[in-house]
Amino acid sequence: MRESREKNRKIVLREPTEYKKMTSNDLQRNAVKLSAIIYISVSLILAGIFLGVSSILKYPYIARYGGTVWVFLLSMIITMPTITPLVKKRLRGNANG
Amino acid sequence: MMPHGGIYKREKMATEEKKQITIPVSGMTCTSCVGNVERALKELPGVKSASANLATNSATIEFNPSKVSIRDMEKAVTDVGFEVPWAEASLQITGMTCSSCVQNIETAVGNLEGVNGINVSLTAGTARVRYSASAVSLAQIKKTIRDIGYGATEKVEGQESLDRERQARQDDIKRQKRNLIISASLGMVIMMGTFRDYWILPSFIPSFLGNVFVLWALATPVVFGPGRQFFVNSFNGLRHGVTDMNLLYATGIGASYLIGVLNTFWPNAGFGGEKVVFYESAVLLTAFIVLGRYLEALTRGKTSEAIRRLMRLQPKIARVIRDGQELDIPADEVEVGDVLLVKPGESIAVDGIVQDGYSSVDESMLTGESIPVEKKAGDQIFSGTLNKTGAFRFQASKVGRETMLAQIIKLVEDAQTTKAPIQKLADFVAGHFILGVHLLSLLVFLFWFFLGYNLYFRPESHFILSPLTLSGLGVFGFSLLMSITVLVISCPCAVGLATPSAMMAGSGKGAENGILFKGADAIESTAKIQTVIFDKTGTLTKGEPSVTDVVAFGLSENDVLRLAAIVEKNSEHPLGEAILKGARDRGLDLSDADSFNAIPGLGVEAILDGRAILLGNRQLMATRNINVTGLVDKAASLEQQGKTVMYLSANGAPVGLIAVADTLKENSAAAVDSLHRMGIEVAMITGDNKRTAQAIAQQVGIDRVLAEVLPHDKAVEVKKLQAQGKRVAMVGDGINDAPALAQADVGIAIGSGTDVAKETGHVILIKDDLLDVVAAIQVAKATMRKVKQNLFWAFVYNTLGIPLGAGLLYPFFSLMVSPELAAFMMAISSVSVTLNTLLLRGFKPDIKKSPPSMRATKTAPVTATAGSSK
Repeated sequence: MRESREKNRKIVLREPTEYKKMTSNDLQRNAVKLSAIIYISVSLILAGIFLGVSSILKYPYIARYGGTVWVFLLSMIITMPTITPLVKKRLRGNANG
Repeated sequence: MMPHGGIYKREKMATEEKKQITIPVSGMTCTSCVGNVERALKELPGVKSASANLATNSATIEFNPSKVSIRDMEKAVTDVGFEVPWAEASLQITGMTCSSCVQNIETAVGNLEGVNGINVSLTAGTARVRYSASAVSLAQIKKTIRDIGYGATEKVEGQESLDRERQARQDDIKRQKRNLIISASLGMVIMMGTFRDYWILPSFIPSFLGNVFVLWALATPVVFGPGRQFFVNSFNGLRHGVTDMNLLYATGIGASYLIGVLNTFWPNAGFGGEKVVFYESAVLLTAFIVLGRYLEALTRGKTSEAIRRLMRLQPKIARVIRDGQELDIPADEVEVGDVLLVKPGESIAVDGIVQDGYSSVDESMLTGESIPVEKKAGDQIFSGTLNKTGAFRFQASKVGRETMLAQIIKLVEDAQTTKAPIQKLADFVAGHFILGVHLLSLLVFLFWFFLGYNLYFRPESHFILSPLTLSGLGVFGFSLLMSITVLVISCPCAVGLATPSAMMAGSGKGAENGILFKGADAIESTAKIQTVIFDKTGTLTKGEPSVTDVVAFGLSENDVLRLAAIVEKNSEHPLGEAILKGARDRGLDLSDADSFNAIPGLGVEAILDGRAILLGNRQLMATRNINVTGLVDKAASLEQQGKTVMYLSANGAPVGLIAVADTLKENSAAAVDSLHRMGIEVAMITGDNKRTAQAIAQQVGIDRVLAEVLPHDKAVEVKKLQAQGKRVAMVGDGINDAPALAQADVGIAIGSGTDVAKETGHVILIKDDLLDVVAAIQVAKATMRKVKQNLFWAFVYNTLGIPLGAGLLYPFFSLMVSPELAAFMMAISSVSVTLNTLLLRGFKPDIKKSPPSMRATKTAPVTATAGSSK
């Protein structure tokens, strides 16, 4: 009886642990995807604004496009580590209710 | 390979359980790397805390093993772009006959905490184990295999974790040195080619060196050779959504090189033409950053020298006597109870008790005490010490991780993996700095692009310390250069190393002097101490009191002493032992009491032949309404001589006094005097009465006396002092004074003996020398001074450089900081921190500089009272 109780105990323990692990991995993946969408969009918007302003002000093509690439790159570097933890925190909070 | 931690293991550990492990982490180069590793680990469910250390290339994690495994931690670390270089060992296994033997061994070893994986080969008779050396030792692994019935010995080509770690460091140093040679030498050639048209250089530098294609050919191997590490590390980090200083370097080097390539192959594309090639920027940037990395790698190797020195003390081979035969066996196979033989000039393999023989043993490597210690039968000896002249046999009492040497190594290692509060602040600032730097770089770019170039740009302007003009630069090239320079010049690359390298050097320096700091925070706290409280008995005094006076009152002296000794027979108190010794010295017959009871802080009582006997202080007599008026004057005069006086009564009537005196340690007064010179207030805490306590305090020069303190109230007294706003250190016995030591800002356990791991306290002094308290404070202060200096050198270049890099001087002087000058300043900050830390290796506490003979003459032998705390 003790053996079967222990067996049952093992089974009960297995499920929540594995279930929790899968949910955590899913959360991680979703957070990464959502963060990527957000920071790439923000960076594209900022680069787009730069391109627009420099075009209106009639800067040389090299300056416009070179600057756009540089602004996009720096924006990505700034927004990536800022947005990713926020999104993870928000998703984790939603998952825990 | 056996999966690490099966369901059964989780079941056993289903309740909340905490364990700590230190895992090696390689690839960290800066403080932001440290932050990334810690964040990744802390996000794991079940991890309570995680602290990564750049100087020791490791991470210490507190975790619940039922929720997270070591494999999970390894994955979290590798997911953010770093590696976990586990220790590996090859073992020769004997006794295996089939695949179930393989399974048994893999299961048993795989279930050991700290083992990452094991691969057993039945055909080869070997096993390859991957493990964390801080969590499990190779000896434990071999023992586990032997316990299940197989033989296990280390294969010759197997590596100890120390050798592996040392090898990794050497490889890193070699790699950075090679990178430095390549980038520096090619950088010099490119510099010559870039500037060949200036000054007298055309007369001896060949013209082909100024050709842009030649410059490109020279720069390319540098950018994709030594500079490759920055691009690879940045890519790995970005792939996992983390940014670090490698990104700053990669951006700077990549942008400079790219402009050069564009202007070389497409000179009319509008980036400034073929005169505006920044190959020297790209290459010198690489060279200076690699120089900083090389120096950091050297520093890390040297500052952990203390640990390596301690580990080298451990002999590999021990000579045991089994079945009457002498056998040489690996030291880690010695078991408790084994008898070992040590000959002159040999190192001692394990801790033990001398059985027979006589010798002198050099213990300086553990305690710092230079004079060899005489050892005879019954004396303790310690692993790692050196037998000098004689030969002896001893019985092993502590082996493996239990030896004093192993405990000291563990304490020093643990201390080096902890973070001081100042380091946490520095890491926080530096970690957020990277983001701020990129934001600043973007703002600088936008300013110069839309405003600054039109307002201030002058074609004749040039870089600081360079004749090259910027006439060919357009608005994009100019703004991009400013932006890149800000990125490089703002990089706090030396910050990550500033505090941990100094802490490592400081804890190692302490260990050399027999002072063990239990963490970097202990070092920081010790440096800030304002008040030191010494426990009296056994700390200021030797703790070996003896009877000095017996005053009879109605009985003979011998009867008084005999009664007192019988009552104290069951007492473990030093005063009781002194009375017993005094009675035995007089040859008195000591029968047993019918009953005995200790009254803490007051005395003892017993029933002897129907008589109620009381022995204790005046308070005890008062509480039992015993009139001791006739003895009070005599007691007072004895107390004024600094003696501890105990009243003896029988059946409610006073029958005599016994006075006991202890001896001050020879350095007590010198230690108090030194602390006073350092501006530290000194107090003494004791259970003795005020008069006695005051007398001893005057003899050693102590300012403040906390007398008549019951043992359980010592922590309360410490708290009262802290409530006055003081930072308090308590010096006492690590086991008996544990609550007071734990309450103090710094608990200093003195004369710990062999059980350093059991000592409560933040600082452990191996020797029984009060001057080590002074030395501990001096080492801590020197270490913190070094930390602050390092942080200054790490930050000053950034603080001064950022406005320059952003072009603050440009509108006024038409001067601009080039990217390579910015990199040079960053390399200088690494050089400054490295060299400054290495200076600590030559530090010696002031108190140790005066020879022992001079120290001895400073203190006169005096008589003092022992505490009456019972």
